[in-house]
Amino acid sequence: MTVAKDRADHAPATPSIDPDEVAKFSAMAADWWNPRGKFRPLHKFNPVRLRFIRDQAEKHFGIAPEARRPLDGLRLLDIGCGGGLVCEPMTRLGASVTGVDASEANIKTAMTHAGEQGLDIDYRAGTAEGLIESGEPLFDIVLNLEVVEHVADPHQFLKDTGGLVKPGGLMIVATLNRTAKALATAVIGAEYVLGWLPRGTHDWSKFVTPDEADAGLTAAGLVTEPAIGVSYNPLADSWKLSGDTKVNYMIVARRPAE
Amino acid sequence: MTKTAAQSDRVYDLAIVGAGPVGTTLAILAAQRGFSVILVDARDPNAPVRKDTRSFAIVRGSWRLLDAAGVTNAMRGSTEPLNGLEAIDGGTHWFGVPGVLFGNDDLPDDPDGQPLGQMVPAADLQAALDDACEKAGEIEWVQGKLFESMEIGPAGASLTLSDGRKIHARLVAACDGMKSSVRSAVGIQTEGHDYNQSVFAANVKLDRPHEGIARQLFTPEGPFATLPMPDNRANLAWYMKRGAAEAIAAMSVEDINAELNARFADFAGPMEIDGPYSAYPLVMQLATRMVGPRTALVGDAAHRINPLAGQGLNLGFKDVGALIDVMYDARDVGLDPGSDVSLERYEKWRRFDATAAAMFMDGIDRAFTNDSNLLKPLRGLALTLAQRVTPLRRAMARQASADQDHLPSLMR
Repeated sequence: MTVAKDRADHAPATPSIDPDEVAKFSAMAADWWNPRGKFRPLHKFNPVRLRFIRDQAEKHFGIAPEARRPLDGLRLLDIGCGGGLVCEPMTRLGASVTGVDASEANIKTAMTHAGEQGLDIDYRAGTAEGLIESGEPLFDIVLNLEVVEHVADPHQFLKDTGGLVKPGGLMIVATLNRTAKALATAVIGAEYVLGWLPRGTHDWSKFVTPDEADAGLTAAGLVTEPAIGVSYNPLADSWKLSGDTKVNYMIVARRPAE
Repeated sequence: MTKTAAQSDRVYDLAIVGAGPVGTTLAILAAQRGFSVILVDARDPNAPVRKDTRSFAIVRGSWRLLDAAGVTNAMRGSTEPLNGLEAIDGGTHWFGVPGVLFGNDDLPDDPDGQPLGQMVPAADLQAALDDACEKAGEIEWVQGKLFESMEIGPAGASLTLSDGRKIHARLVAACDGMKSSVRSAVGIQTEGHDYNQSVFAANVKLDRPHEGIARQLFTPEGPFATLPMPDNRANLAWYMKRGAAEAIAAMSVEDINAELNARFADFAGPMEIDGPYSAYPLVMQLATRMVGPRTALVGDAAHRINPLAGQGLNLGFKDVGALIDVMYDARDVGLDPGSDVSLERYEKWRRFDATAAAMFMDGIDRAFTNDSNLLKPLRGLALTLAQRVTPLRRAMARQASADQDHLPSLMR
């Protein structure tokens, strides 16, 4: 009985939104989705990572590049989904999407926005660990985007969440490297000089090097590829994939088919 | 094309208000890319057609866009190659007549051997585009109806037409011209400048071969421009003080011919009015934003510039190419093409170019429309430099022909 009780405590659940709260969450959703608002850096960054996810999924699952709904039939998990900036595009590309976020306010915001857009997304308030403990069926694609640098034990977190990937499935990790350049640009530059992010958004000492991320993913039984950098071009005010993994980088990991 | 009543519950990817060259081109290209399109056309199909006697200079980049829309074959035969642009300072100078001529030789080779541009009669361009809209099965074409009002929701816009019909769309493209009602409905302001000038426009038969060169003579009273047309005719634009152009347009054809030849026969050779003519006021107008919620301004709805070098429509075609790229790229990664996030890219891409073009044409007009002893040597020097310094001349040719970097993919 104790086991069952633990599960009930941890299992992420879809919260219900009080009718009185709708206006509040609708306003918060408008904030999340405002390209000139406080999430502007995320909107700038989003197209390059969405493109990367689509390309990787096409390559991995052998999907035709011209497909209008390339992710049709695939079960996708977005860990730390926030207001749904990745869940909504993935749903439009055809995936059956589950989004988890530890913040219930984020989940309610994401639910409100998805409802307004007429998108069917399975949002749950809770943690990835909770999903594992509740025996959630595995996923074809697990997205671990800008989360690792915020958790207490990155190695254990990557090992645990790697376990949510189906045999023959794919995980994509995006995070920040623990280098002097990342401290100068992602923390001091973005938070203190440019004011792109609220101060204290990132704790540099918790950043994870590609080797450390690789070790966590390998411990989960995944096969990794070398990290790919994502760099900002200040003149074009846009992001692109690069060979420089010193600040932002992404890693693709696959679970071999059984 | 389906001319039936629009289904009221359907949500279109794109509602286009205005079916001029810009609106129809956008409709064809969007439908080609699998977007569901509804085109709201104010023209009444049963009303008698008033022949548009203007001609457009369609520069190389715009021609590629029209080629992608599949309408260039239908226009062959009625077009005239535009091989070069010539600007001559007609003010009095101490020595010589400063001028610059740039043309096809200053441009990179085009794989299809396209010249700098094509002169296309407005009526032929519109007919080719209408025909292509008709043949594109994916365009819902509502004719003889006006845009009345619009409501913006979180996922799209609801438009009400003059017959009370409602249309729902994720994105609305305002292609309804300088006095855009869609622009007013979303509350986007404009800033303008009245040049206190008017243009006398007419088609003339030339005596001297024009060789496909668009020529502009800058006089202290204002520029005089001839754009080449088939059969050695030309579309002329004569800029004057407000009132003067209108006065010319009120004269008899014989008197106009006499006036034209007395003033400009040295520049253009003997000429004779051939067809209707008119005068219209010259104004510059820029929208303060290119986008609003669920709305993109395209073409003259966003910017009306000095038509001096025939760049107005080409600027509109750049808008069309950019909007198509923005919509396509957004959908390709699962983003909503009509959302603020997507439209932000369109705004950033097009606003600077439109403003720069307006200011540049404005500056040229002001610099030449005077006989100031300070400006005269300067502009003489500028023209002489442009003529002698090959990289400068080439850069001008590439800019004028829309053949450069950062162009929408369909124009490269």
